[in-house]
Order: sequence, then C-alpha cells, then structure tokens
Amino acid sequence: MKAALGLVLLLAAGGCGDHAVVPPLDRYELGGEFSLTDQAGEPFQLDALRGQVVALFFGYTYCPDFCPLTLSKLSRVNELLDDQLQVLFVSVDPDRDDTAQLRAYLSAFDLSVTGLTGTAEQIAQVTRQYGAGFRRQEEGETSYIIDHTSRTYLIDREGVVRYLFSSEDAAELMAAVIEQVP
Amino acid sequence: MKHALPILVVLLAACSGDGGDSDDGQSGFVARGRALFARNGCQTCHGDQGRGDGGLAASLTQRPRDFRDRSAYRNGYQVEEIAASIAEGLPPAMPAYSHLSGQTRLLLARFIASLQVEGFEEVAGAMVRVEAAWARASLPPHQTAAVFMVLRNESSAEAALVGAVAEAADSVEFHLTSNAGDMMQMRRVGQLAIPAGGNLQLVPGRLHLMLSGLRQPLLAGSRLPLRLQFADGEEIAVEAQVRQP
Repeated sequence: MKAALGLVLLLAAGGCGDHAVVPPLDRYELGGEFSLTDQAGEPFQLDALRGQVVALFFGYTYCPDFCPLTLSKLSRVNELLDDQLQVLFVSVDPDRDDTAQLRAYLSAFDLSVTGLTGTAEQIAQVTRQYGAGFRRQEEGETSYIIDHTSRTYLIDREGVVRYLFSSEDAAELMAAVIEQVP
Repeated sequence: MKHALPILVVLLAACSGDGGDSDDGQSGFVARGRALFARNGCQTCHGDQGRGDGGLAASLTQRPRDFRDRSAYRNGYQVEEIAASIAEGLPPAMPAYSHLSGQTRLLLARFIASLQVEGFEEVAGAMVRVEAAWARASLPPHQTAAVFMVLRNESSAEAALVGAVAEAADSVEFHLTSNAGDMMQMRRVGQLAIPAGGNLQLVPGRLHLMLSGLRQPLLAGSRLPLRLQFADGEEIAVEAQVRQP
C-alpha cells in the first residue's frame, strides 16, 4: 500500500510543473476572523486586511527547514504578483515565539510578512477555526520540534478562504491561482 | 520496457550456462517476475534493480535491503522463503502482499532471487564524492541551521553515512522532512544510505543535515567546514557555502 501511495505522490509532484492547468478557486467554510498579536506587539485582526489578498500559513521560528522554505517560496510568489500579496505567518509555538523572536526571525527574509503569536488558547482557537493541526514532539525542554499543518491558505478580499495550497505547489502555480481572486 | 525484456532473457540464459535446456523455462519465470515487480509498484521502494534505492526508500524507517546481498534477507534468500516474506510482509516498512496469488508471489520471488550476487557483501569499500554543499544562513535565535548537498557513490557497494561533525555546532543530525496527511513532520534518521553507483540528494523540504547548538550565527557568504563519517570508517571533509535563507 505504501508503495502504491508513493507512486501517486510522485505523479502528483510531477504534475506541479504543468502550468497549463490552473485549478479554480473554491469557497471554504473554515477560517474566519481572529485576534492575535503581531511582531510589533500590536493587536491584529484579519479584518484589518479587508480588501487585500492574503496568504496565511502556520509555522514556528525554530523550524529549521520547512518554514524558511515556505517563506522564501512566498517571497517569490509575492514578487510574481508585484508585491500585492499580504503574507501572514501564524506561530504554533507561543512558548518560544514571542513578539521579539518573531520580529528578529522575520526580518531575515526579503519579504514583508506579518508574524502573529498569542496565548496558547488563542493559537489553539485559530488552528481549530482553520482546520489546522499541530503536535509538539517532546525531545528536550527547549529543543523540541513541532509537527504542523503544511497548507497555505489563500484568503480573498472579503476574508473568505478560497484555496488551500499544498507544500508541493510551485511558486508559479501559486501565483497563477492567486491571480484568479477577483 | 519492451526492449528490456528480451535482453534480460538473453543475459540470464548466458549466465546459467551449466543448466542446459531447462533454463529457458527458468528465465521466462524471471522475466515475468520482473514485469510483476514493476506492475505492483515494488520499485517505488526497492528500486528497479532491487537495490533498495527506490524513490521512497530514504523516507522509510527501515530501508529496503539490497537484493544482491544474500545476507540481507531477513527471512531467508531461497525462492520459497522470499515468497513467504512477500505474503506476510516484513514490519515495519514492507506490507503484506497477501492479496496477490501464490503464483504471482512465486514469480516475484524468482525474479528477486535472480538478482542475488554470490559474495556480494565482500565488495570493496565505498567511495563517495560530495557536490554542491551549502548551508542555509541561520535565523534568530541562531541555534540551528540546515545543510544540503549531493552525495555521489561511485563504487559498486552501497555506502552509509553514519555521522557528521562540525566545529561550528554542538551536534549534527540527519533529519527527514516529510508531509504526512498535511502535517509537516521532521524526524531524526540514524543513517543515510547512498546506493551503489547512485546518489543521495539532501535538499530543502526533504533531507538535511541539522546543526544544533550553533556556537555563533552562520552568516551568508561564509564557509562552513564539516566532516562526514561513513560506516566503513572513511571520513570526508566538506566545505559548505553559507547562503541567504
């Protein structure tokens, strides 16, 4: 079974380079308004980005590979979209990701991104709303890693989730999908 | 594929010169087994030559064995024993293929047995070359950094990378990033196998060397010296270029 699944995955990955077919937008029930704190320490609500197109993903700053990879990909997507994309990075690691840590981490990227953190309850609430998951793998007290949702959420100008990008989607495909947002 | 089959038959017939006419039947079984091997997706993990180097091999908790090596068969290397392993599976990675018919399993086993090479495990030590090594500049709080490279194995034996050390960090581990049902996971792996005559790619989003306990920030433009340690005792010095995240 594992073998069969792998084959399907490989085929799917192979299909990513095919720009001829841009999947259509959808409308998702999940998502919606939330209140968190941005890297400047200011309160943040999704409503503040009304009228703009948003890409939101969950991660954490101690994440050594996937999160930097996603941020640099989104930086490329934003470039393809003439800087018209608003990127939100929601931390699933409120214990370590305070506003100062978010600020330091995100400033290393060539992308204007709003980093968001909050209390453990607030983060749990947002992830529930977005059908996202995260699971802390206990290793050491300060050196744990966190499994987390790998999707990137495309949110339209009205605050509605319109597409879920997989981690395998190429920047060019993501830009083409996002361009469909009216 | 159409071309590959007759060639295979010829080669096998040529190899078994001592068996006489009955070998025609034998090689026919092997060819059918090879076709079934492909049709059932076995090569996804086992590799198309059965060397344990299929596309998914590196992501498994226990890597598939190299079918050339008789000592690697956990439940015996005879045709009937292999057929039983296919039927029952070999935890944790090899599923049971009990849905296949007994005859199909036997044909698969005959093909697999045909790959065995006598005295395979005595093949001389591995020779590995490292290309395009680079590290992602560390990010605040500058505790970890990921290193990527391509490892080319130019020998006829599988090589195993068992450790790595860097002056710049307390420890270096091998980490596999994988996406399981939309959950991005990262797991430590004990060692990395590099197939004979093949390569292993450490690339973002998949496999990396993870430096922990950095002694100072890893800055773009600098160079990071590392030493890679292999199972046969060989050590390779590598310099990774540090680049922007």
